[in-house]
Amino acid sequence: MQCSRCGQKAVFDSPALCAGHFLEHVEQTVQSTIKQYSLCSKADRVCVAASGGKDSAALLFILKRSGYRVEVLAVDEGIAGYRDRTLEDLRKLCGDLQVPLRVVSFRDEVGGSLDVLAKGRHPCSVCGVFRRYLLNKYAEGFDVIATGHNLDDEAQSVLMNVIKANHTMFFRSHVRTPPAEGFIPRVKPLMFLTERQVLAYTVLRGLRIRYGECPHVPLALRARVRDVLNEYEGSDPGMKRRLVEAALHVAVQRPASLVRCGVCGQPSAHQVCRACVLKGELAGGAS
Amino acid sequence: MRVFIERSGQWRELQAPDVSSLLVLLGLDPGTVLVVRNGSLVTVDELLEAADEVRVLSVVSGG
Repeated sequence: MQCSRCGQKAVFDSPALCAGHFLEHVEQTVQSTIKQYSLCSKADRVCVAASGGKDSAALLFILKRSGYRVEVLAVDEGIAGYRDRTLEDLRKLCGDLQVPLRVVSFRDEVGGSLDVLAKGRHPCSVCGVFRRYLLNKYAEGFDVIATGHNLDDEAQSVLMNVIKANHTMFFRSHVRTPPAEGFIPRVKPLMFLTERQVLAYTVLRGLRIRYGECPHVPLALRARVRDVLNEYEGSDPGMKRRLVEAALHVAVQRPASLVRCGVCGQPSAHQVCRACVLKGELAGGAS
Repeated sequence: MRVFIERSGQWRELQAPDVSSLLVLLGLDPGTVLVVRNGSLVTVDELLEAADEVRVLSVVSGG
C-alpha cells in the first residue's frame, strides 16, 4: 500500500498514508477541530483530563507540541490492576513533557475506591458521577477541560442514547459544551479521529502505552455497542463519522440551566447534585 | 515467526505469508488491531518472513 500523498510506503490504511503524512494528518485534524469549534486558544489555561491511556496521552502530546498552556488532572478511581498501571505511564509522560500533573482519588475525596463503592451498583454509573464531580471541582481556574474522547467513543454514546431512548442526552452531543454558570467547558479535540488512528499516532510517536481495559467494561452496554459499530464500520466505512455528525446536527447548543448544589456548591441541574446524593446513599448503606 | 498478541498477552509461533493472512489465522478483524513488524507499523498487505517478530496491538482499550 502506498501513501496517497507522496507514493512512499504507507504505514496506515484509512487513510493510506506514510508515517510522516499520517502524523501530519492527525495533528491537522486536531487543529482544524479546535479552530472550527473554537475549543481553546493559546492564551487559555487548558486542563487535560488524563488517565494515561492512549487517547489522553495523544491529546496531551499534541496540545503540548502545538504550544497550548496545558496542565494535567487525573482521577484515580481505585480500580485494582488497571488504573495504577495507567497512572504510572501518565507520570512518566508528564515528566518527559514537563507538564504539571495532579492526581485526585476516590479514596480521599469520596471515601472509598470504585471497587468498594460499586458493590451492588452499576460501576460505570458510580464512576461517571464522581469523575465529573472531581474534574469540575479541581479544574477550577482553568478555561477549559480537554478530554480524549475519540470518534468511536462519540458514536458509541450516540447509539447508546438511542437504544436507551435517552432523548435528552441524544440532543446534547457536543465538541464543546455550551456555557453554564460555574461549569468549566468540556472540549473534545480528538472527536473526529478514530480510536485506531489515535493508537497508531501513539505508536509512531513512541509514546509508551501499555494495553489495558477497565475490568468493569464487560459489564457495560458500551462494550456490546462498540462491537456492533465495529462490525458495521467494516462493511460501511465512514458510518461512525456520519452517526456523530447527525447527532451534532440536531444537538441543542443552548446554555444549560444550572444551580449551585446546596451541599457542595458545585454546579448542578438539581438542588443537590448527583455526587452528593450518591455520597449520602453510600454513607447510609443504601443500594 | 514469533507473534505477540497484546490482548491475551501471549506469544505464539505462527507462519503466514502476509499480515492479512496472519489476521485471518488469528480470527481478528483488521479494523480492530494494528500490526507492528520488527518495530515498524505496517498495513495488511505487508509480506512476512519466518524470522520476523510481529506484535498485534488491540485498538480497544480504556473504559
